[in-house]
Amino acid sequence: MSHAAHGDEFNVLKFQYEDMDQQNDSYIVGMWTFLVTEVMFFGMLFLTYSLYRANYQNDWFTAHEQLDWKLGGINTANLLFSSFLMATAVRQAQLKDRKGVLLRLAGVLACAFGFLVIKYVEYSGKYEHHLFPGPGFAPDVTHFHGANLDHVQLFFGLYFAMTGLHGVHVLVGILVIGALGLMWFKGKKIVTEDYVPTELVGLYWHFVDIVWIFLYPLFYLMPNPSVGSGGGNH
Amino acid sequence: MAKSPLSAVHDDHGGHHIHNNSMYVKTALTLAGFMILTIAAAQIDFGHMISKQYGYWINNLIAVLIAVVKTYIVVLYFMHVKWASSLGKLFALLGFFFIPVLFSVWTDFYFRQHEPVAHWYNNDYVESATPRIIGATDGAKIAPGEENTQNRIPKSVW
Amino acid sequence: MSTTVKTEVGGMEHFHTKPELNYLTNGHSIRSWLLTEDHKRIAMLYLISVSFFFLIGGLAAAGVRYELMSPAGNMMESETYNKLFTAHGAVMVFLFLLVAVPAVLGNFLIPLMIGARDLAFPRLNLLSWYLYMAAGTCIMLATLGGGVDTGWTFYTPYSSMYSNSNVSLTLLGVFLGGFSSITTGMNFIVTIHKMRAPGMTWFRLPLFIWGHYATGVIMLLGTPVVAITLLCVIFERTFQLPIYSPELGGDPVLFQHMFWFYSHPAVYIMILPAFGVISEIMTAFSRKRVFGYHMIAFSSLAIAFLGFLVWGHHMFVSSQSMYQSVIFSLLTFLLAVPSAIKVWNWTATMYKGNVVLASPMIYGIGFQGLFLVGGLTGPFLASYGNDIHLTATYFVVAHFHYVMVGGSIMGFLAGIHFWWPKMTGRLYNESVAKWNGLLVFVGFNLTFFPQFIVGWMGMPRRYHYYYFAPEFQPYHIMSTLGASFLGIGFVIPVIYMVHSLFKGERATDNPWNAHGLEWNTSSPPPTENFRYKVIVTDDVYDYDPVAEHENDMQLAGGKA
Ligand SMILES: [Cu+2]
Repeated sequence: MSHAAHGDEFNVLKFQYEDMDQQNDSYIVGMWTFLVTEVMFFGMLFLTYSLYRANYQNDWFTAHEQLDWKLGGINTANLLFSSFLMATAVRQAQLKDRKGVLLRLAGVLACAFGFLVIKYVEYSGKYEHHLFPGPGFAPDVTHFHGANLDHVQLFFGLYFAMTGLHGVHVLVGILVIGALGLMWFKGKKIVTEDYVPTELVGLYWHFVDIVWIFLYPLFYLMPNPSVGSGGGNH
Repeated sequence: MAKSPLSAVHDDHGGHHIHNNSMYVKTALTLAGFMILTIAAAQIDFGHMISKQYGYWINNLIAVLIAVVKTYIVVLYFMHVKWASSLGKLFALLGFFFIPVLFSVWTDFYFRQHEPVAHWYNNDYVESATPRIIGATDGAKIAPGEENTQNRIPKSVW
Repeated sequence: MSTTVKTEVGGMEHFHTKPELNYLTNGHSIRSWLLTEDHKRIAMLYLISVSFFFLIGGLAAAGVRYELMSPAGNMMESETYNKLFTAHGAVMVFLFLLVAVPAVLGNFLIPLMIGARDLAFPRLNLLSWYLYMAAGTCIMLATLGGGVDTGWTFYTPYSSMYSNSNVSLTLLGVFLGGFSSITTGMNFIVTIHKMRAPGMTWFRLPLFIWGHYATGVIMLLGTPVVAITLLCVIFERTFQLPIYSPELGGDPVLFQHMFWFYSHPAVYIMILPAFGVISEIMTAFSRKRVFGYHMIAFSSLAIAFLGFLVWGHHMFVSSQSMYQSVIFSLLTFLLAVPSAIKVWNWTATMYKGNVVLASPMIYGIGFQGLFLVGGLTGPFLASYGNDIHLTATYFVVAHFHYVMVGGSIMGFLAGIHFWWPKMTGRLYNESVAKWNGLLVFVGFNLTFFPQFIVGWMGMPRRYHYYYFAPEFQPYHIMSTLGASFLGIGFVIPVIYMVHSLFKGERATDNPWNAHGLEWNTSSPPPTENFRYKVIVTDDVYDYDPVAEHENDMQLAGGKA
């Protein structure tokens, strides 16, 4: 792999690197440094969640009953499957199998859209039941068995903030995967000659999956704090 | 491509391995197994089974542990960190290792329970944190549970 | 001098540069500047923009100082005053201090110092400048279009519920600026890991690089936390999502935790690169290998890590648990150790060296004096009991200005003076620069030392009057007078630097006779940084008289 330009085509090896090994490792390490920031980004939200949940166990358990764990479960499986497709798409990219990559990326996109559709169904349900925090927060009190509605509002504040930010990441993922797919479709050398660009998008998408791996049990599968301990808070 | 004896810098070779499809299938199936496990574990009431006091926390611990294991599997196999250069491994783990430092904020909230003063989450409201009614000369506060709409910024104001 | 093997490099056709062109003359169109991927040009873009924002922040400071000359508070409304000091704080912190040294000097010098053609991700570097400009635009629009009155710390619930000013737009600006900082940090870390020239081992790296590596780590780990924290405030204001709302059982102190989790380490984003600059200057102008290279290098990393464990010292009086405060107080004292190691080693570097009092050295020594005062007043504030008395007084204001202005800005000025010939290929007027260094030092002390005294006496910060204690007025007048000197001291360099661009003498490749890869290439460097393949075979800071003599022979046209 010399530094010589591939004709007038886009040069796969960028000028600042000596060889493809250096370039590829830089890209992958660079992507991981970005994911470090993403981990810290979501970490702060999980910290907030853990503090509030520990303090308002019963109220938050009551609030979480408004979420449908089956829909969340479908989305978990959905993201898991898309993660699998993405991983194999990277494999096909290593094999320079253009058709295989395109097929799998299309599958990932379909899953991502499916995820957002289900999220939309969930969100609109919450909105109709006036569960969105703020001045419009006016839920049917009978559903909450005397729970403190302020704390319920806090729960939905974090629910919308965390799943919303995750949803934004899914949306960005759709854009990035779409762009990658387009480049594969057009046979751009930057993606076909080397698998690393596909791998980078894959890393991002797996990270989006990881966030949901935590969000799902924490928001949808809360244990009941009052069953075993006789109903007392704290 | 021959390597220069002087190239001390880029001697790491990252993820060139092409794995069998079976590796990905196995990983995905393991993850699916854990997903079912986490749903199943949430249905078990450890409060009745083991301990009235700690059952709830056992449930939570299991849920988080399963999520951590799943993350570990995704990072290792789907994200190819198992085969990454040592530098790649370092930065892959840095963020996850740093999360505990962030969570050390918890110590403050733990210690506050042992302070000889009322604390914020005691369900009775801390006086100073309760918004006052603007314009009230006697320092009247908004009653707990009542919505505080005064001076909330309308959406249009940036 | 550093031994370099001068062979032609393959692949240089990417640049299509003629031998007589340098990075400044390689393309003159506006497009060639605004869409450049050259780290040196991006550094120049940063230099121009940070200077502009420094001017804005300085004008706001002038307004604050003007108001405080009188105890009556009769120059402006409280409201206006609040907006002024917020503008000063937000602009100076987010648009100047966090950016100045790393994005200007770091961007320019990291590839040169490690023998690379560019940073690892040149386009990301350009994106980082655009994000920074977007951040600047947001903060400027918010400031000029009505202002923000929360202070640069944006404490909730005031910022999230009550403040009737342009908080969200400012926060959006800070958020974007955070991403600019993150992309810079990513670039630095990957570049330092992966782009070093053959033979450039970790312990041959200049300490400037170590400082920037530590900075990059803080940028990666800290910035996202404050970004999401401030984003949550935007959520509270615009979507009314409760995150910190105390009236619903949320905890506004959590905001402070998360804000300072970043903003204390952010202090090290501001000062660590300046430490790097000073390490370079101390050794170059003492003509002696830096004392305790490894200790300085590792103390940078120690600061980066320990810096994340002390944020609670900002919250001694904000209902943080007192037990927690005691721990934070102890850890803060510990953090003084690595900083002290650095200062001690710089002093030891000068000891028995052939100290040359060139203008960068004047600023560098000024840095040491001011940082010493700033650093040593830190333990006053780290003491839990003492801090109860000093919290939110002018003592704190003086302390962090000694560290930020005396440290970061003096370091920036020193660095700009040191590398200006390399960046522009021109020499500025050395004697004016030296006298100006003295003016800045005197003006600075006159501005901020009285603030220690008046703060100790009880002058609260963020008050626009002090009619309750008119005896504070002399101190404030001294402070304002000093600030005027300081302002002049910041304007004069702009004049003689710009003047040098047109009328200055042409600089040689190594005008200071310093050691380091960046001094081996031409001034200003060509777009590809080095016209030959860089292979490093000698140690860092290899100042020894024999080698210098040989170098002089080479420069004089001896055998190559
Ligand atoms: Cu601090």
